Amino acid sequence: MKKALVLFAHPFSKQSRVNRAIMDQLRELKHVHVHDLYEEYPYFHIQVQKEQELLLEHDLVVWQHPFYWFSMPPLMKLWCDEVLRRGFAYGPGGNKLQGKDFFLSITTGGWGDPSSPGSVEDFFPPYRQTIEQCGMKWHKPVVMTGTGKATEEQILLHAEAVRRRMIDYCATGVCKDM
Amino acid sequence: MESGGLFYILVFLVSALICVPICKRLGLGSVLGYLLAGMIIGPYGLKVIAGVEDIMHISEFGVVLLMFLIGLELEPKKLWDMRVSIFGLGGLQVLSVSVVIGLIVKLFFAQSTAVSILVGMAFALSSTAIGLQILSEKKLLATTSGSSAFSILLFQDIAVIPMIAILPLLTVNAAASASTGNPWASVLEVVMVLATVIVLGRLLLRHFLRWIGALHLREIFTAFALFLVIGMSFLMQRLGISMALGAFMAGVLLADSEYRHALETDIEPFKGLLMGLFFISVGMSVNLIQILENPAQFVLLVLLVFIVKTAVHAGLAFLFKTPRAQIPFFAIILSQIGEFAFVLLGAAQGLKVLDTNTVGTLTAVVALSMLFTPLTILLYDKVYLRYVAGASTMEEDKIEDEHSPVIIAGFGRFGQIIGRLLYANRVKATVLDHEPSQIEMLRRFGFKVHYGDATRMDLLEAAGAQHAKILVVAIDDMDDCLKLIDSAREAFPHLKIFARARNVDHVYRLMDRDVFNFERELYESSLRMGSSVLRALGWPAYQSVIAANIFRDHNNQMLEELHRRRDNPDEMVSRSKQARDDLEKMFQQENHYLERTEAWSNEQ
Repeated sequence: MKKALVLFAHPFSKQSRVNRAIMDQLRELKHVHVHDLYEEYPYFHIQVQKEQELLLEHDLVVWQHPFYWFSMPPLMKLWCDEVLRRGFAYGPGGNKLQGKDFFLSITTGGWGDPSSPGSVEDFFPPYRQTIEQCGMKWHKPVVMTGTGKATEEQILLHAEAVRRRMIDYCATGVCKDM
Repeated sequence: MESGGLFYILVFLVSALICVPICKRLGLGSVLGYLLAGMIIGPYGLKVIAGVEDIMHISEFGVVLLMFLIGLELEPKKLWDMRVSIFGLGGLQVLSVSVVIGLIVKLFFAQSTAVSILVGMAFALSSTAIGLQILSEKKLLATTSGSSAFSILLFQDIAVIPMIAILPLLTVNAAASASTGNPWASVLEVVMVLATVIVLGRLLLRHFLRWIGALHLREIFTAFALFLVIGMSFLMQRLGISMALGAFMAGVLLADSEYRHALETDIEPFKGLLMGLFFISVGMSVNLIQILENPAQFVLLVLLVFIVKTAVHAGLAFLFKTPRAQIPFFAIILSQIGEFAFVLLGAAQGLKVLDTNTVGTLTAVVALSMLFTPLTILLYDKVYLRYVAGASTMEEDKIEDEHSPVIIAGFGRFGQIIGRLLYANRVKATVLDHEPSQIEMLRRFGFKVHYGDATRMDLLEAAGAQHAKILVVAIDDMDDCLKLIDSAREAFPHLKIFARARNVDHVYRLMDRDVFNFERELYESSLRMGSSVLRALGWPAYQSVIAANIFRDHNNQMLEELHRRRDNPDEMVSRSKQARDDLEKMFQQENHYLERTEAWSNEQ
C-alpha cells in the first residue's frame, strides 16, 4: 500500500464548504494523512524537521487549498520556503523528494471558469516549477471552480472524486487523472 | 424539662438527625422528615419540648433567609419582567381561592360572613417554605410552572399585609377596630422607609461590602451578611410588613452585586438549618390529640382543601398557558396551606373573630395540609409520572441558560488580559477574584466580576461550574492554584483546565496533574523582549523573531523531557547541559541556512 500526505491550507476552514467536505472524506482513509497547516501552525512557526520527516514517510503529496489571489494561502507558501530547503529538496544532496508523486487540488470561488478568457491553468507554472525542481512527478491538478454557487450535491460529488483518486493511488501506486 | 436551651438544641438536632435521613432514604423528602421529627418531640408527641410558639418565632428566620437567597437570585430587571405573572397570576390565585373557600365555609359550614372571609383568605395562602424547598430540591425553579408558582408565592407574601390590615374590620367588636390608628399615616411611613432603604442600599451598601471584604476576615463578612438580612427583617417587622418580604427586598438589592455569590454561600447553611427548625416547629404544633379524637373529620377537611385548591390552580395554569405537562405539578405544589395562615389565625383569635376551639381545628388542618404536601409530591412522582404521564416531561422548557462557558479564577494582571480578549469577542466569562479594590475598578469597565475565594468549591459551583466548559486558573498563589485544580478536577471533572504557571517548578507540578494547557506567566513576554534585544543589536526583525520561536520550541520540548527525569537529579543536570549544546548547534545550523538562503537568491 502506498501512503499519501495531504497538506491542507485554509485559514478559515470552518467557512469553506468544499474544502471541509473534501477533508471529511479524506480523514477517514487509513493510508492518507491529512495535515492541516493552519491548525498545526496558527502562529506561522513551522517546525521544519517535523515537516520533512512527514514528507519522507509518504509516496504521494497533495496540496489542498483555495486559490488566493491567483496563488496559494500565505502559510502554504511559507511551508514551501521553510520546508523545501536546499540540501533536502534541491541542490547538493537535495534528492530526498526524488520520484514522489504530486498533485494539486484547488478550489476557486466562481472565478476562473473554463469558459472565461483567463483559465486557472494559466497560473499553474510556478507550482509545476517548484514540484519539478524538487524532482517530484507532477500529475494533473484537481480543480473545483465556482464553489460559491455549487450545490451540496456537486460538492459531495467532487469530494468523492478526490477520495477515489486517493484510494486508487494508495492501492495501485498509479496516479490516475480524474 | 428545665435543662434549658442547650438541651433543646440537642433534642432538635437528634430528632432531625434520625428522621431526616430516614425519610430522605425512603424517598419522602427532607421536609416530611422535619415535620415528623417535630410531631414526635412536640407537646402532643413525646412532650420533650413545650413552648412551640417561641420556637416558631425563631424558626421563621429560616423562611426569612430563604427569601433573602431567592431575592439574591432575582435581579430587579428579572423581577420587573415577572410583574405580569406576579400580580396577574398571583392576584387571581389569592382572589379566586379566597372566594371559593369562603363560599364553601359560608354555605356548607354555616359560619358567619366574617369567619368565611377570614378562612378563605388564610387558606388561599400556600407555604413558601415548602413550595420553594421542593422546587429547588427538584431544580424546577427555572421551568414555567416553577416560576409561576414562585410568582404566586411572592404575591401571597405581599398580600398578607393587606389581609392582616383588614382583620380588624372583620371583628364585631368595635373597640378593637378603633385601636388601629390612621391607615394612611402608616402607609406613608412604609413607603418612606422602603424608599430610604432602596436609596441607601444602592448608594452605600456596595461600598460597605467592599470595605468589609477588604478586611479579608471571612467571619466578619458572614456576620455582616447576617446583620443585613436580620436588620432588614427587623425593620420590616417594625413597619408591620412581613419579615420574609423585607429579606427578599434585601436580596434583590444585592442581586446584581459582585458579592452575590459570597453572600449566597455564607447564608446557605444558616438557611438550611433554620428551615429545618421551622418545619420541626410546624410538626410540633400539630394537635395530635384533637386529631385522633376525630380523625375522619380532619382527613376530609384536608382533602377538601386540597381538591379545591388543586382544581383552582389547574384552572389558572390553563388560563395562563402553562405547558400542559407541567400543570399537574404546578397545581399540587401550591395546594397546601401556608405558614402565614398561623399568623392570620392567631391574630384572628386575638381579635376574637374566632373562638379557641375553631382556631385549634383550623390550625390542625393547616399543619396537616403541610404534612400532606410531601406525600402528594411522592404520589405525583411515583404514580402520576410513572403511570399516567409516562416518562418525565418536567425537564423541558428551561429558562434560557445564561451561565458562561468560561470561569476565570483570579483577575489580576494575567487573568484580566484573558478576560478582556474574551469579552471583546463576546465570549461570556464569569470572573472570581478576592481583591475588592480590583473588582470595583473592573466593574466600572463593564466586567461581570464576583467577589470570593475561588478555591472554595461552593463558590465555584455558584459561579456556574457545572455549566462552564473551561476553568482558567490565574490566581497568584501557587499552592492555592494547585489546590483549586485538584478540587475542581474532583468536583467538576468535565472542566477543561487552563493554568498560569509561575515558574518551572510550578510547571512540573501542573504536569504531575496532567495539566498541559499552561502558560508560564513571564515566558512569552520575555521571549518577545529577547527578540527585541536581538533586533536592537542589528538583527533583521524577522530573523530575531524566528530565533525566539526556535528557542521556544526547544525549551518546551526540554521541559517535558526534564519533567520525566525529575526523580534523577544527576541525569537531569547532564541532560540540561546537553540541551544547551543542542540548542547552540541548532542555532548555528539555522543561521547558516539563513545565510545560504540569501546566497540562493544570488545564485539564481
